[in-house]
Amino acid sequence: MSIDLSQFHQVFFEESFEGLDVMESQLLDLDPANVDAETVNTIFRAAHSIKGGAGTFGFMQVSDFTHVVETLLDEIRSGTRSMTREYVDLFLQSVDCLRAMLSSLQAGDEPDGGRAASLKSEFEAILNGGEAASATQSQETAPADDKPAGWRVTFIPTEDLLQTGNEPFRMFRELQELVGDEHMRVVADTSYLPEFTNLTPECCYLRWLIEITTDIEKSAIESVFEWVADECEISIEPLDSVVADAPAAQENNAEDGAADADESSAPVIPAAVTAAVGAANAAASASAQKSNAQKAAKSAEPSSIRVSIDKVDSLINMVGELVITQSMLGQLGQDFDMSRLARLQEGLSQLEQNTRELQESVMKIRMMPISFAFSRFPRLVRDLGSQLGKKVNLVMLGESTELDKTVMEKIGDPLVHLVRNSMDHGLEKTADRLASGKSEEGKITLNAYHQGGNIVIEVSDDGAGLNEEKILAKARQKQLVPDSVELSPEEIHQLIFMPGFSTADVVSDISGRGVGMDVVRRNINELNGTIEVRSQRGKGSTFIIRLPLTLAILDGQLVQVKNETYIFPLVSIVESIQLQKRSLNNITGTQHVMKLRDEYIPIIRLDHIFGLRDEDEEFENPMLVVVEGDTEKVGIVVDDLLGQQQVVIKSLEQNYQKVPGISGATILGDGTVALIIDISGVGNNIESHPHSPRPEQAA
Amino acid sequence: MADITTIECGERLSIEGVEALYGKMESALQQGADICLDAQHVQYADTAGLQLIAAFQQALNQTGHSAAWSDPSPALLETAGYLGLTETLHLNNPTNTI
Repeated sequence: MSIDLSQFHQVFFEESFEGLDVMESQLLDLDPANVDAETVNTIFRAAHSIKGGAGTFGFMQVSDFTHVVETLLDEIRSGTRSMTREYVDLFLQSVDCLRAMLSSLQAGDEPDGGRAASLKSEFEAILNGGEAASATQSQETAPADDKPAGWRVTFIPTEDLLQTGNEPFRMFRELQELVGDEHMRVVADTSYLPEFTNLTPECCYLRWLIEITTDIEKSAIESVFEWVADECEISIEPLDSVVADAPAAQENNAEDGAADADESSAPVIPAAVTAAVGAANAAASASAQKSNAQKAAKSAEPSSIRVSIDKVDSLINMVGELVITQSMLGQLGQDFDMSRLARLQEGLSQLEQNTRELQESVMKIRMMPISFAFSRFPRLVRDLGSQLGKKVNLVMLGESTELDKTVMEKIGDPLVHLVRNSMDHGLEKTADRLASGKSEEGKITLNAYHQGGNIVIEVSDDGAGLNEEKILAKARQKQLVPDSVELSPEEIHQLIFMPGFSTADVVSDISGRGVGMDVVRRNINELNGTIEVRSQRGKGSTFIIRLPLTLAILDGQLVQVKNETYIFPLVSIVESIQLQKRSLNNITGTQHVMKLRDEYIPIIRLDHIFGLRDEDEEFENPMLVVVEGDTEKVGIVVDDLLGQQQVVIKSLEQNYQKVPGISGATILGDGTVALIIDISGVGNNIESHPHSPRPEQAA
Repeated sequence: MADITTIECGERLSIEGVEALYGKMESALQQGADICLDAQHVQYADTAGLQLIAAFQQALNQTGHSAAWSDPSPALLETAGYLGLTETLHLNNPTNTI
């Protein structure tokens, strides 16, 4: 029987990405002037795990690169070398490099080795050129003459070592990579093997004596056995001479009590061990090449999600309740008469409750804390801060607020955009801040919380705020706002989300915002969310994003168009009114607008867009649903408003193909399929397909 | 000529398969024959797998019989080398027979 190791790749990638996140956050917290030993240990352990996993799965490029990172970390950990700001930067670059390599491997591509090779050279230069620094420091701790010529390691595992997933040969292999095969020999002690009939094959009865004939740091050896140190007996003693002879090994073995049988305690012939290890290295190399070839052919793995056992237990409880209700209803159905109608209704009510609770439990499985999306920002703020020469304090609140995984993945980029904008254009330069009586350090706050059925994410800064005069002037210059129209400060703020407003020169001039804000708003709208901005001149700005907790369920307004039912996302609807013929105006012959209070809104006819009616067929008592898409309001003509309900979204792209103007479909209670209208898509349709009701056709 | 029983080590001589292999070896010990360990297909070996072979060889020797390797694979030689079991398992001569 052979196991396909590729089935574990996804877990490895996820754990490695988590490890990189840990490394990154710890590096960002690290103060080179006052290094916390536990922080360095945490970073080292994360790197060590990635290296070990990568080696196990044959991702040798990752393993080799992590090895040099780990070596430098180990020197810092052991006090041989001091942490510097330059090292922190280099480690952070390594995290980026590893992340890119792992992403490539996860996608089934060959990682780009150029960046890794360049960084590896830097690490090797430090490690090789660090002799002076190393020697200087070691003088403080111990005289160089006292350094042993080598080490004798006795390794006595617990019997259940192998069952816990720890594998001695991997540890020995790692040790050999550290010291070189010519400087290490391993002797296995088989004397503790029980009689064959009493053997439990999964238990470990072997013990080992390892002789290392090079002056490696003791801590480097300890790090190899770090994961098993608590449960196994490990002794690392200095060798008396560089070349450990056979009697010395035997003597040491006897002293340690590691072995008392002649056969096992006698060292093997070094040449034979060396030959075997040499053969092993050749085989390992061939195996790695084969593995590389195999992984290149692999396609991207599906994403997965980690779920706490509490959530799974809750789900199982719900299913248990459902089964009981189903059983009760089944029994009721077998011998039903009208006298038991009340019981049936009670059972159906119970079923409805069970289904709702089950739905909620399943939805909770997809929920993840928003800290997953927030975790990238300390690094981003640090890097951008040094790039812009601004001191920034990032405050993150509500990191445990939960959000659907899909929403989380899609909100990441818009958030990055907002934070970058706050850094770049929101926060003033240090001199300007000091001049305006503010502290030298700017502050950016990310805050997440639940409100109603939504999650609210706020990105705020204590910068200069939006310059309303300049924004309005620019909007008038671009003819986005007529000269005659006066706007309130709130309306002026909304201008930054207009597509035509996104020009870099404007933003840099006004110390405000604008770069790609239309893209941010569109991305958020695609998630059925909204974004608004509140700004106070001289005090700062706050962007408030409201998102649904999940993309799987939508609060929808059902509308009827001819004989079809469509669904509008409730979040997009501004109001619904009876369409009045007299309020319609024809502006281009085909495009109609309607005056709604003080503004004109373009009119769209869904029946024409979807080919449900001929051009000359008339409506009876049409309704107008006013919706807000990307930037402006649009009126959509429908026959009737049916009702509001939550609908489960089915993807058209996955089941059929992308259809312009339609964001998905759902199945209604009566089994019919209803299409969900993509408000932005339909709004954009005005330009390309200007259908609108002629005034004479409207009632 | 003495009977020789062949034990196929499979592609993975590792902890997940040692229980099954242990059963085969127990049967082979009861047969009282010399053993050929067919390890040419071993693509992965670990401590549990090689420890079982070592215990089996010891038990076989006590019954006056022996085990011979048939084309031990590079993967097996590699792990044995790391674990310091090359000599113990009589793997220092790749074409050895016992």
